[in-house]
Amino acid sequence: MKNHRYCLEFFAFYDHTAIQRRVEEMAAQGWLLEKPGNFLWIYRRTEPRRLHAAVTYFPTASPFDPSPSQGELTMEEFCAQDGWRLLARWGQMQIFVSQEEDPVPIDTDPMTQVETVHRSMKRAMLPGHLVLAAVILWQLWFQLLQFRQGPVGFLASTSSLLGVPMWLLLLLATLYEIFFYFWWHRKAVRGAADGFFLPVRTNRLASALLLGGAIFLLLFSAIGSRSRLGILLGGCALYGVTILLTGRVREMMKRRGAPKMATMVVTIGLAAIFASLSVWGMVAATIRGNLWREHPPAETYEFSGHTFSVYHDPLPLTVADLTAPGDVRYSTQAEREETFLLAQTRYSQDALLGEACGAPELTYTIIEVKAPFLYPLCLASVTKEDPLFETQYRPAEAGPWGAAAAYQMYRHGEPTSWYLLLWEDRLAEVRLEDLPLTPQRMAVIGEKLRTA
Amino acid sequence: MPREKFKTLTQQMYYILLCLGEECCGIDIMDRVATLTGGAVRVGSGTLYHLLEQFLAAGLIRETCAEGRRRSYLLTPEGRALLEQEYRRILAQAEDYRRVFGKE
Repeated sequence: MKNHRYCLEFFAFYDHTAIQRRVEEMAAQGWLLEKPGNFLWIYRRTEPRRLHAAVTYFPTASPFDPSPSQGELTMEEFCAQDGWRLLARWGQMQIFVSQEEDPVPIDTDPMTQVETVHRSMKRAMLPGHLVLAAVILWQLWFQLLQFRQGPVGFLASTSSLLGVPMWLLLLLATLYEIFFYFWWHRKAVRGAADGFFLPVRTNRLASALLLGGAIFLLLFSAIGSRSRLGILLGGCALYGVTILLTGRVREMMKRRGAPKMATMVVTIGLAAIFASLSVWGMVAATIRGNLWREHPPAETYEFSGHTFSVYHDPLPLTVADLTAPGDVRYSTQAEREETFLLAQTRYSQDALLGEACGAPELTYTIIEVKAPFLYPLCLASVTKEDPLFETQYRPAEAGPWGAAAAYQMYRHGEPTSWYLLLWEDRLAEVRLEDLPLTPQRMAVIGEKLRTA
Repeated sequence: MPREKFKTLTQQMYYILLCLGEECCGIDIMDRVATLTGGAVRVGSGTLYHLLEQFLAAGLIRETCAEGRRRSYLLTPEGRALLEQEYRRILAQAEDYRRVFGKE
């Protein structure tokens, strides 16, 4: 028989009404609260009993205090006088229970209660929520920058595309908490001035839906992508370890009576160091293990003391379609990203290093536009002039390619072997190395890329 | 409009200050208020603790002695003046009542 029960609870920190009700309900079922937390609340088995619960706040308390302050102990004695027994502390929150039939409430003056709750919220929750909102806004700004820099890649990437609604949902959930609190506080102050308590009635379903929606989008964006799923799971595991480790260290320092400031500095410092190391470790592991690649290489080879990857992905257009490849060994790689708006596939056929010099090579990207209204945006993005490398696409003859329109790239005013071919619902950029263009080759390339 | 702090006293504030007209230990105030009002007014333990801290910070009461966590308090002249002001406000309200409904 289990002696502990772990429950996911979505209480707002100031929602003393809901917390009291929940503690009483659980006690009636034979589960007494042992440890409250951000989401995970731990209850231990006990005899079912009818208890009265009271949630009150002590604004100057801190989760880093080595032990309860004299003030907290004094208040605990006052409460004991009225039959209230302390059940749990969680930062500024204190949860008491009483077995008396009709105990005198701990808070009997609404004005004092509202002020105490507000002082606790200002110290505990509101700064954290405001920092979180600022971080989310920064993330959304970063997403906007990514979109402006490369709208095609952004719209073809599930993680980028779903990242926007995910961050928006998180922002809404955070703002909902902040605004609902201030709405309640404003009404509670008015109520207290008239001498009555205003119960908190937060809509936890709305918060849970917003958070659940964000988590769903995060998971959905990682499904089907080996690298994103790996990074997501690795990130979650490291976050869990960080929370566990810093929590253990904080509790150990508190048990040993370390001063509040020392505990705070060590805990926060440790969290920052561990988070930085985790990010650095994940980046290093990603690079060393080629984890950013969607699929592992078919084989590897050594050249000049370095290891290189070889892929054997099928390509719609290969060097063999255009010329006899000889006995040159190639790596053929295809990387596809796709959303409901558009798909972008990058193909490359590169001769292995050390192979015959001047072997023909191919690189091309096909953009399939599923939402026609995005076509002008994609075209503008692809043909955008690059002032750094002084490149620009200039119109070229489309007929030989069998395309609706064609462009050739010029660099420093000189023509290059980069071409852009347009059809009704797709754009294809192709680069040829050591493959002189002939009308036959142009026709083959156009046909293959049109139907790929 | 939310009332300005201590401009007018809530019932709980009023009775806590009233009890401290005589030196009294914090924890005994709850019983003293209940006795004084015949059980009509009960001061909660959390409310009592926080109000004592606020009264002390505002100079309305002073600490007279402390034995461990057991501390006693007494009303200061400022506290007495505030209590007097509240008393006059309540009297004025009673007078208004009498003017409307006559002497009862």
